[in-house]
Amino acid sequence: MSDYLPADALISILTLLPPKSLVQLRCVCKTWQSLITSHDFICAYLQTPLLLLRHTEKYGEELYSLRSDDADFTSLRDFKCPFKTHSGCFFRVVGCCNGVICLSDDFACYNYTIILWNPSIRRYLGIFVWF
Amino acid sequence: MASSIENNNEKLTLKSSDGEEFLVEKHVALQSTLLQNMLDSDCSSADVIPLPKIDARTLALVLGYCKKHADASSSKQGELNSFDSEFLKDMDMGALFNLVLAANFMEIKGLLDIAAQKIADTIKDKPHQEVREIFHVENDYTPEEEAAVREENRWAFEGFP
Repeated sequence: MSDYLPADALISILTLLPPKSLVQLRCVCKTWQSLITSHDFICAYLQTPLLLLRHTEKYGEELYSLRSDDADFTSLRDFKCPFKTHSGCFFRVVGCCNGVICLSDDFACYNYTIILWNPSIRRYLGIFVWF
Repeated sequence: MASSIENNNEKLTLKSSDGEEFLVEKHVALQSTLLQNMLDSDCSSADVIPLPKIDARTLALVLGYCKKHADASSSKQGELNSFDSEFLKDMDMGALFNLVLAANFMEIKGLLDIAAQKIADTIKDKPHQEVREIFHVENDYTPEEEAAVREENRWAFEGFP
């Protein structure tokens, strides 16, 4: 791992980094890769609660931002929604848990797509549902 | 806890890994949860408490931090914050790692937090190859494996070598 630090001290440092740095640091070595993607590390990382704001500047464009849950409401990261709805309308935000957002394209259609989206690490999973 | 307050003026001796002894007031030592637990469970009968993982230079820094925080009243938070940032200013990575190790071992949460934050701020925008050197980590990926992990997360490497 490291000549310098035991795992718990290393975790104290790595949990303070933004997701983009952590995704990159998976390349450091195999131990860091398993540490960063481990259940325990992710639980420790999620200790700081963040707020998700959805807003729009023009019709059909969805903007999201992660904000700190304090008086300043500081914007930490901004994302554009990379998905398109069938109707050109908005997604319905079903819910949000541990950084994963569940979107549903169920406005004005009988079949719809559910997307589980983790914008911080740019991963998603889409499920197409028929009725 | 009551006994700790009654014996506020008592002192204890800490011994660094390189054999140097430090005489510390008890209320200063109580900044460390490890020492607090030792004192609470009456392990303090020993004349000298050895700290085999912490060298004298680091221990002196740690005790300086503990003294400042133990002596300041809670109303002086602003003063403590500027002390903290001044305390770590110009500190090299080796010294910061030693502080993290010591704060982790002695369970001094405030010190662990600020030292870890300083290291995190330093490595945040550095390429992973450089972070590997800073942390003295041996790369156990084959070039193909490393390229595969990188390819999987290509977006995170934009602008990096």
